[in-house]
Amino acid sequence: MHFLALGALVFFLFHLTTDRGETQDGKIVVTRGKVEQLVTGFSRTWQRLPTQEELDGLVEDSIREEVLYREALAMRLDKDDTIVRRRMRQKLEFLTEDTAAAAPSTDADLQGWLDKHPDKFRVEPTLAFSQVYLNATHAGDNASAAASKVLAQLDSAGESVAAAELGDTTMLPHQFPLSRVDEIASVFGDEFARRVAQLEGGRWIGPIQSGYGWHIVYVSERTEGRPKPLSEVRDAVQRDWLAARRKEIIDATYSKMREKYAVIVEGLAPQADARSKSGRVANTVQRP
Amino acid sequence: MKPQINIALTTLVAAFAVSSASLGFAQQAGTTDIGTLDKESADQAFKQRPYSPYAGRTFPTRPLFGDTHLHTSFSMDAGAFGARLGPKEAYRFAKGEEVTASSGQQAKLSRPLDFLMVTDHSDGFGFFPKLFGGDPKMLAYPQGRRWYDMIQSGKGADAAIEIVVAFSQGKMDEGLLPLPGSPNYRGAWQETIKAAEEANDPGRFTSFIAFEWTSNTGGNNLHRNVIFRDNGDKASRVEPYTTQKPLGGDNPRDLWKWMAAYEEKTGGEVLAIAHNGNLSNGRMFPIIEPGTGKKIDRDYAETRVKWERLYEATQIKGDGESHPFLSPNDEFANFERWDKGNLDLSELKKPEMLEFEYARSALKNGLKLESELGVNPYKFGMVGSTDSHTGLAAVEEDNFFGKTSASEPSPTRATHPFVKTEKAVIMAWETSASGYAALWARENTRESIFDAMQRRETYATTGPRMAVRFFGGFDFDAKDASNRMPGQVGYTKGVPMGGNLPAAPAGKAPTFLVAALKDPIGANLDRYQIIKGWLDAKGEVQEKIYDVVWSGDRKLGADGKLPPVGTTVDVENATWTNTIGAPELIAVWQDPDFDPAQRAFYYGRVIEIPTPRWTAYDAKKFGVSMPKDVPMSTTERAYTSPIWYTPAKP
Repeated sequence: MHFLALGALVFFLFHLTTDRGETQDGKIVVTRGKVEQLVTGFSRTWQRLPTQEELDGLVEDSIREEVLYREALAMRLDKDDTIVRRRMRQKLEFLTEDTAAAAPSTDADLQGWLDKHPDKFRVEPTLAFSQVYLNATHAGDNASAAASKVLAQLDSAGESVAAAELGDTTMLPHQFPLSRVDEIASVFGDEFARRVAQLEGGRWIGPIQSGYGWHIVYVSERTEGRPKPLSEVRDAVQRDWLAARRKEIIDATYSKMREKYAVIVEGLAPQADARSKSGRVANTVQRP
Repeated sequence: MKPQINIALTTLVAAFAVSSASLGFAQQAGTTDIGTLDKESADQAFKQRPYSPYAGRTFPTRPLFGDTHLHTSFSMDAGAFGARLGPKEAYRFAKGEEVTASSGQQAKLSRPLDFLMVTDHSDGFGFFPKLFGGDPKMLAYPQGRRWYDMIQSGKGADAAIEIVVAFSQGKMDEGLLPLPGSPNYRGAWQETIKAAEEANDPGRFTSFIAFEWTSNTGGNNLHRNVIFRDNGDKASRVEPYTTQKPLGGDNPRDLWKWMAAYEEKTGGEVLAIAHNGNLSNGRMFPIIEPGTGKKIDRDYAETRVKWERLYEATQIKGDGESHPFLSPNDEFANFERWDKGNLDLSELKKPEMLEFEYARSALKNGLKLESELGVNPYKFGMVGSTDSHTGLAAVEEDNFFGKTSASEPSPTRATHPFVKTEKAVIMAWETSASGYAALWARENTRESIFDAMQRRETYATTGPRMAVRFFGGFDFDAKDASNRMPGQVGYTKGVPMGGNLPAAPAGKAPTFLVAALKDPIGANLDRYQIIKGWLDAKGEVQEKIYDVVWSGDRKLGADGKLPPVGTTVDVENATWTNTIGAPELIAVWQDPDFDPAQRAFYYGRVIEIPTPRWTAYDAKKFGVSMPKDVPMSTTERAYTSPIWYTPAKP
């Protein structure tokens, strides 16, 4: 374990002294720090130290990379390379993004965010129900008639009826325990779930349609949604708030950088008034 | 009352287990300090089910759907094609939120997925130092203090530029520089782990830590996705295995070594899922190990089947179940076929390669290899996934966001070449809006989902979310098909998909309980087939497809084939109706051609009625017409993991 501490220390020194200094013309220096970095990388991949032979291979490969990298730069191979350009943009955006985390949120920030977006952080309502299924092809155009028959049976029998025995056979569950609307939707479909969520409880109602056919439904239990206090959802609010901040900062940083440039798009008048608030050029470009 | 019974049961079970272990299996009774447990009472205790059929359920009752293979802007090639969405946005989209796609359009799934693995390529995971972590120690430095104050007073953008410039010119205070292992150190791998940890919401949505090992030497695809069961504390102790020498490699054997080293050192668990055998030019499921000229050995077989419990059998770059050349009698085998060559079309396909590329053929060859080596290297379950490089796991036909951000919806996206070399062309319209992984896990958590994958209780779908059951055993009978809870009878009387049949009782043939429920917002089902592969007496592999249950009153023809279900697809309007097919199919089937001396596997294939293909939706939405040879209609399907039968040793 002391090795790791040593490695970290040397890495730190490496950053201090050689981070930008190794590119002296004609000279390639593989510093102790670089070697330690290679060893650390290997150890974290293979969970053991490299052998001397393996380490020699890693060092040789890093030299090869450095040589080719410098030669490529000298040949300006980085210019007009889509991948290089996009990668550099991505790198800059990553760096910019991080400044969002530099100004940590205050309680006021988070509470304000929670107040503005209450629906995102609620405990959702749940409901439990039973259903009797009528196969659409079975019932055919007489869905209403078939449903009325079953309804009559259910009403007369009351809650004690073995609802599972009525209607058509199905693999769909006959009893659904207390669940959120999205859980019900994942089994029955969105429309059915939303309709059932609004049904009056305590009696059989139908027919209600789903992608499978028709259902007679009995909502047996409900729990109400409630808003959650900040103390319960702090992490989620923080993440959401931070995501919005990140975007703001990237846009603001870009705007500032953009101001340094005069942009000409051929075929169009100079861009001074065509810019939107975020500094983006209008998408349609007229070409002569 | 109830809790007391449960405690008593548990104690009995525990006591029985302890005493039977010490007394040996042959004992029929064990005496504990709460009485003597004889076989009859033990049977009673174990078989006792609560009266209510819904209480005490420990088997999964609804399938979970997810994507085991998705790329974001963190992958070099995705970024190169314009992907702007990172793992965070990918998770938000998978959870059902609306996001802005890289092409600027709004995107949203029809409903959330249950789980997602973001599997960015392990090569090209660069290192981006993190500048600030809100660390108060940083405020002790004048630079740090200055920037903090600027940010606090609304000059964040100015601060950002200064920070960026200072960093790039090496003018940052030493103490502000991040060190590996410190909380402020940030590599792309750390970011991936962090995004996965933040997105994980046990019980509601599961994210996994994962990466793709993209072995692609010579353009021949041997890619695997590596998925961790573990959380960040274990995963962050390791660096992903890459394909760049000297640290990485392109041989799957080396990947397996990496996986073994990880498990040994951290006590964690990983598995690997390969894909696109169809682009490996004969190397994905070898009998002769590529590069050695020698037949694969027992060590290869043991190691492979240990780490690769699943195979991704369908995705955007073509379907991998079977091929018309390999299965000439299968009218559904010619489906989303990508067989022109390898991944970058640097080498064309030869017919003799196909046998070693497709799932069904590999399952068959696995039986042969098992008889020779004693171990079946190709004993895998099946999943589907997208392999999308847009950060969006969006493969519904009417909501297909393409393979790369350059092919997100637009009037011309279908008619560009996807890959073009002087040897061949693959057009963008050939990309398939497919697929998802479905599995039967007891809970929506990392552990439960990973364990379902390990035991292969999974199936692949080409996009729709049908619920598919496949159970095998020797005791299913026709009555079981009328049972309203096939899951309960299935688990009690047999093994689920991915399992192994026990030895055949004398004179009995395997029976299967099959059931499928259509996607609640999808198309009706046409048929449920069972595909059997076996090793015959001559040592040759064979396959046969049985139509087990289907919609309507169609009858098998004189040639044994089931007539097609027809089609309601209106290509011009990109619509269909559920006036054909059935919303549910359930049946019990017995193998009429069973030979207890022959190794075999069986898997289920569920096929929907025809529906419009994504190209038809594009044509309608954008008012464009597609070239004549573009398919406009599709038949979505699901492939279950197999159930294997192994003859009892003589």
